[in-house]
Parts: sequence; structure tokens; C-alpha cells
Amino acid sequence: MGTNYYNLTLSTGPGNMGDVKNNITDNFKKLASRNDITVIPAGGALPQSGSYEVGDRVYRDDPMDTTNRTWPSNYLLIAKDSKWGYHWRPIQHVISPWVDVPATVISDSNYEIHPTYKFQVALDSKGYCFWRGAVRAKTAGALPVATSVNVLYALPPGIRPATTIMFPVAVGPVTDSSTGKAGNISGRIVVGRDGFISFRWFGTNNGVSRDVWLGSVRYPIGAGWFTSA
Amino acid sequence: MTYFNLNYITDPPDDELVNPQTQLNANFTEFDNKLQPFRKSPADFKNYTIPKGTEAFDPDPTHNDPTRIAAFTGTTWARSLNHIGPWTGWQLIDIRPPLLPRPGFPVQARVNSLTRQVELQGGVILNSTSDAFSRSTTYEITTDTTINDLTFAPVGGYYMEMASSSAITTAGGYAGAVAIVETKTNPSRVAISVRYQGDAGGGNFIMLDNVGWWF
Repeated sequence: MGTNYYNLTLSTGPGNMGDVKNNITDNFKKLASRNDITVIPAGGALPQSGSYEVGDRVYRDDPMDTTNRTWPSNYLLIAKDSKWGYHWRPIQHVISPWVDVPATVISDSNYEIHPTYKFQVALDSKGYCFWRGAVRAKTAGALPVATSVNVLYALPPGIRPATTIMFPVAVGPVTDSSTGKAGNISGRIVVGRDGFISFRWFGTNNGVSRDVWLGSVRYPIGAGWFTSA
Repeated sequence: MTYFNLNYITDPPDDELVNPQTQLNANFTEFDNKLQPFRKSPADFKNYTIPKGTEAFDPDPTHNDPTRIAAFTGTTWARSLNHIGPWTGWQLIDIRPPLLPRPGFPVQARVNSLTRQVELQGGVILNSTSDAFSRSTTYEITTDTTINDLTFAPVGGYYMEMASSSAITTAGGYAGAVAIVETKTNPSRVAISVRYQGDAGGGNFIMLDNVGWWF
């Protein structure tokens, strides 16, 4: 039997101090670390699992060194999603470490995260979300033009854009025209304010396009609310 | 180290030995100091032991900004970094023949060493008469030694992004281009290339204003 939040023991005995260890010392021990922040070693990965809730902070113990671009900083958990993983926004540093988006983000069995150019996300302290890397079709060959595909599951609240945005995405490679297999192709991605994602490819489909480059996607976060998955 | 540095009564407990002044009053003073909602500037923690990551609001005297948040590193306070300073100025980069800079839109680059970003602006034309680019021919556009520094190689050694291109006049025609940034050898360099990917007859220039990568 304890108090609601910190499970502090309440004395039931009248008169004297009662059981000092249970009633006083153990209560103080429960309170001592209540405001402590998890400390991540310098250069360590920010948590991608654990009992963190949106709004929790961790501290990464990086050196103060702007020459080598390291800076000690707290990071605020703003998105926690079973598909997209955990995403931490920097408070003191300008930009967060790049986080590999897990393979669970792929919603279409014809696609995969590019094995060499990993799909990664970083956040900055002004509230921007940056993407880089690539996704690709699992098999070589032209992407289907003139039809929209999701490829990725919806963005979780916390890293959605403030308003629906469309970005061009580069598609490649396309073979040289001298081989007779050249295609003209490009793509776009719509990132919805409700998290909905849609890709579409344009052009003739006689190319050998397969890789879809996501580095053009950069937007201010602003769905207006935070929540846990 | 914990946020609250409390005194514990030594076991076995015996209330006859409790010294309220040293063992209880000191703890309540510790709570009082660290739970005050407005005691949150770094100076307010001066005489108190606190763990890494403890936050405090910290006025920025340079910009008169009272909302800067500092984090305790164990020995000092890390302030939030300036967002604007790290960008270099725009630097003109040389264009490799036969391509030329688009008149009025010289190709320039700038670098942010803190966030490890490069951004481009400006555009290129195929030749002095701005003939249309051929589809799917890749042109390395620069021999510039500043931005070719391998320091600025894109993560993974390869990066591709859409570049904008002039419209095509043929009805139903398609115009589009990409910029490619990659690490190459002999000589080792960061090569910036463009490739027109539209229909024949389009693409009299290729613009790089939205192109940027992470190194």
C-alpha cells in the first residue's frame, strides 16, 4: 500500500516515529532519483525501445565540440510508433543523430528499404524533419507509372507535417539511351498532414528504374498533437 | 548521482537516534530548493549537486531571448546552439566544359559543418546556344576543388535528387532532370552530375536550386 504516484509508504501508527526505515528512509530513497534523466553515452544510439513515453527526455553525453560537430544535448521523444520507430527531437544540439527507419515501415511487399542507402530520419531543434536514403522495388524493372502506391505506412503523429506537402523524388538508375533502354521517369511523394503517404511515378515505363531517393523530403513538423502508439 | 541528494537514516532504524536537524531538515530543504517552479536558471543550481541532463532556462544576453534551454553536462551548462551561424556564404563553383553556367544563375554552394549539409543554387546549360540536353546522358558539371573535397561526400557515397528543367514545347511531352552526387576515383573527388530524363526537345537548362545533401 503506497501513495498513487511514487508508492510512498504512509505511517499507520499513532504517536511515535514508528518504523523509521519503512516510513522515512525508504520513502526518501524512492524520491531521490525521481527527476533523473537517462544518460546515453557519447555517440550512443537514442533508444528505439523501452518504456519511454512521448514527452520523455534522454541526455546524450557528447563532448562540447563544434569543430567535430558534437554537442551535449537532451532529446525529447516526439514520436513512438510500431512501424516508424522512436524519434527524438534535439533541444540543445541543432540536429539529432540519423536514425535508421525500421523495415516495418514498408507497407507494400513489392518494395524494401535500400540495403546500401538506408532510409533514415533526423530532426532538428527548430522542428524540421529530414529524410535521406532510398527505398526500392524488390525486383529490377520499371516502376509502374500512372498509378499511386503507398510503399510506406502512415507517419505517426509527432513527425507529421503541418500541412500536406508534395516533394519530387528522384528515380534511378535509367540506362543510357545508347543501349536502347532509356526511360524518362521521375516521381513524387505526397506526405499528408494526417500522415498518409502516396508515391507516384511519371514518364514512360521502359526504363530500368528501381531506386527511389527520399533526400528531397524536408518539412516542418506540426500535426498539432503528440501521442503514443 | 541523483537529482535529490538525500540523507538516509542508518539501519537498524531507531527513532531515538533520528537527528531531525541533520537527517530530516536537510532533506526537506533539498526538496524545497529543487522543486520550486521558478528556480530554474543555471545559477540557481550553483550550490546543489545535480545529475547530467538537468535542464534550466537560460536567458541569451546576445539575442535577448529568454527561452534558451541549457542542459547540465556534469561540469558545466550546454546552451542550445545558434541555428544560423554555421552556414558558410555562397561560393561560386567552376563549371566543367562543355557545360556552362546558365546566364544570370551561376552555380553556387554553401556548407553547414554543424549539421553536415551542402546546398546548391543556380543552373547549367548544355552549350552557348542552350541546345536541348540529350536524354539519359550524364554530365559531370564541376571541377571545383572546394566542393569536390571528399569531406563533403554524401553519406553512402551516392545521392540523387530531382533537379528542375525547362519545359518542353511538344504537347504531351515530358521534361525532368536529376542531379547526382557521388564519390569517384582518379582523381578522388565528389562529382556533381546532371542528367536530363525527359523527352527529346526539352531541357534547355537544368536548375539545382533545391538540391542539397548530407555529408
